[in-house]
Amino acid sequence: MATIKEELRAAVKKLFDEDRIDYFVGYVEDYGHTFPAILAKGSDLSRLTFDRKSYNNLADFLPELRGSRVGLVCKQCEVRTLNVLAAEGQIERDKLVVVGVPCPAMVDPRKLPADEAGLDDLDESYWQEKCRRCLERNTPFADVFVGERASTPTPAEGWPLLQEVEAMSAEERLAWWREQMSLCIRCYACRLACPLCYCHQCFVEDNKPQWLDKSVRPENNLHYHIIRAIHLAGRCIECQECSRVCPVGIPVDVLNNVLARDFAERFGYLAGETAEAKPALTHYERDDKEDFIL
Amino acid sequence: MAEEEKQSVRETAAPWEPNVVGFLCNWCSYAGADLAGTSRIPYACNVRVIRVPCSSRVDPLMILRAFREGADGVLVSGCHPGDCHYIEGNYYARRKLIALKQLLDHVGLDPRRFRVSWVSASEGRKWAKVVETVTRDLLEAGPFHYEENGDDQGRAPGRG
Amino acid sequence: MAAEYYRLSKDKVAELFERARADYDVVAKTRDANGNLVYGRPVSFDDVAFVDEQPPMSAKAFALPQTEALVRYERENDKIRAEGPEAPTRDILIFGVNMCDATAFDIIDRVFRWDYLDDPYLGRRAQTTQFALACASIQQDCFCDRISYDEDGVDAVAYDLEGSYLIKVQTEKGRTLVERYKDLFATEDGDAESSIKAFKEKAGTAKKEPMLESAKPALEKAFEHADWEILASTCIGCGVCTYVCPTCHCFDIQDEGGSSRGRRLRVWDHCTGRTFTAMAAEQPRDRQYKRYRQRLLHKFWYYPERFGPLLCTGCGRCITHCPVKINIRELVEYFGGLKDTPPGGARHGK
Ligand code: SF4
Ligand code: SF4
Ligand code: SF4
Ligand code: SF4
Repeated sequence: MATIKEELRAAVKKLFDEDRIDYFVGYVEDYGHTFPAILAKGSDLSRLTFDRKSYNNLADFLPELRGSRVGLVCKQCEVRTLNVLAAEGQIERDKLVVVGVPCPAMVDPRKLPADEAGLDDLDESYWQEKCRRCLERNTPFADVFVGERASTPTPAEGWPLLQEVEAMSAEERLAWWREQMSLCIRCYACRLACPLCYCHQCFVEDNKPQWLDKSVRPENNLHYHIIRAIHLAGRCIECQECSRVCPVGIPVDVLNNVLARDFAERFGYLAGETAEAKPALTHYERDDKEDFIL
Repeated sequence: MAEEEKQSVRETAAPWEPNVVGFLCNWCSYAGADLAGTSRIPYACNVRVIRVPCSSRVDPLMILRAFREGADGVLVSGCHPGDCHYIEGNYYARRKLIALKQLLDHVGLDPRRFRVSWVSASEGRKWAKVVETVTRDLLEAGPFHYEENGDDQGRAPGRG
Repeated sequence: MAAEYYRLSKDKVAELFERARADYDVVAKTRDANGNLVYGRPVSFDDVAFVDEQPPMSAKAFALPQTEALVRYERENDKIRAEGPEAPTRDILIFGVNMCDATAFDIIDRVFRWDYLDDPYLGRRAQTTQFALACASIQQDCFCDRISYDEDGVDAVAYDLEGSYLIKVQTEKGRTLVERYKDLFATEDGDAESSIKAFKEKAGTAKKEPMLESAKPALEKAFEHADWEILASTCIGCGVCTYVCPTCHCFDIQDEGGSSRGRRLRVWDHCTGRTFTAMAAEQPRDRQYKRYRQRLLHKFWYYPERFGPLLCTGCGRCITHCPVKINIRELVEYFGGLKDTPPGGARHGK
């Protein structure tokens, strides 16, 4: 029986051979890492893989390839991203070839064992938080599907880390976030790894007016994070890339989850669930609930 | 004149006065504030008013920038839902402000520092009351400093 | 000065640490609120992390802080008061710093004392003593074994030879350190250099051919190589590689404040970002792969051209922490003609 890697390589070869795509965006393995690559015809496809370290949200590379015909490996994270991007008019679906995969759940990079031989067997306690909440393990709208369909366990309720932070008192939360903000170096990797932060010019780059001071200090860092979370309100699809890429280990996604959770409860809205739902902030109900306005 | 109106927090002559930045929509709240003035209703003068066309013009960025520039509190005020001059602006504003409120509460910012109100052009009295409430609360809350040691050099622990 | 060798027995390290705190602001590897490694100020000796792993952030911030006020000013009536950069109040000792971080200072120094003497930087450098701890084993992404830079310029290095530490002292600052706590150090009689050599062989940090310096001639011809675009186009331009890098040293000057009070700041900046040098005109490199290429070629071509060594100590941080795992060593080998296959297998296809 062909492994998923072999099926994937064969499928991509076919896409190139039949001239259906100009580029293929997928994961490759080399020098001990699994990482994203943009492959063109004539590339060595023998490094293509899909494993439990296929972290990156590949939709992040679509703006760079706009105008080309692109094949893309889509796990559930990319599926929800594509739905949001489609609702926002950011992708040309007819130029995309979606390669579906059964997702085995990603292993939290902080919990990667030194010996990776047993990677495939690691249980839930090793997974990234998002994988326990995953709605569907198999790509629903695949043009090509490789591998064997996986079963989807019942999604877990809630966001464990968010719940932990919310259990604190307001003072404790203030101190906890201030501590986190003091660690941030404002590299903006969290923004750039996010497939939904696709602005050509981010507010942090504006200098007339300069909304955000360049000095790296907790208050400015907090401003950046709050505004980014607002810009992702009702859009963040919880792929956790922002947190994964943070070089200093700040769980940035907690802020996005605050709103994801609130919007789900308040407006019954889940970003990227369908391509049709109107983005939450471009829409309103006359009786939206709030309890703080004077 | 009612007793409570004469008793403006202003007259308590606090040793420290809160700085409040108010974003007021042109059509309702600004007119309401105007009415409070022309009706000579005494109320605290701590709110520095910035007139905007509509409450949905208020970008959360402006609110955070106001804090960064030294505001102790920020007040956003617009038309009542259903009364927006642009028909639906304040409905959009409401969702945006709900989101900001959720985040500020989550990161532990004192809820008294960020307030929103609906004040119509005929509600001079309500405007005065809103300002009194906001100012009184901020007098209790004290000056706003996010960083514990105030003006640092952005030195994070362990970064030299 | 010629190198000097000493011995430090392991049970004396805690005492050394405690006593040094009276004379220095002692910085060492410790854990932050999230349990991640940082160069910080441990509360006690028990908080010092003796591990080979590097903290994500290098030690360069102790000489070149991410945000630094060059001038602060304040206006009262008609008087303007301005204060220059603040020097650290105490000398800094970086205790147990990784070799790849320690050697980086000497590399950056060359830039900051080249045509213009950068006083704030050089002042801090003069106040900083590095007491390095050589790694007992090389890690996955490290490649210091492929870069000629050795112990050059490091004040003092400790080699863990099981029972005790062999200490190699190379500078006056290093000697001052040993002199101050003389009673803790024994003199070394054996053939120290052979012990060090054996240590490095065992750790896997001994130099291995081909060294990356040898890639330069081919790199000089590879500027227009067709594969740059495809290989570097997964770069998202975050600049994590530059911020975590012990040798990257670009900065921006910013004014914050107003007419009555404010500061002129130096803040880190990075060539891989799309707003780099945008204040002057614009980012001259219009595509992301060109920005990445700039970073690589600056390190392995332009800098060595002017100053000699590579602008890289082989710490591997820019691989470990890169969100898309771009591998600078692999790319240098590929474009520098030391290797035929491109990392990840991508080719331009045109
Ligand atoms: S990735 Fe981490 S350090 Fe960088 S800006 Fe985001 S939170 Fe800050
Ligand atoms: S933070 Fe906001 S402005 Fe910046 S890229 Fe993301 S969505 Fe755009
Ligand atoms: S090479 Fe990696 S770390 Fe550096 S800017 Fe590009 S994506 Fe970021
Ligand atoms: S370029 Fe990369 S490997 Fe070299 S010193 Fe900088 S971070 Fe380390």
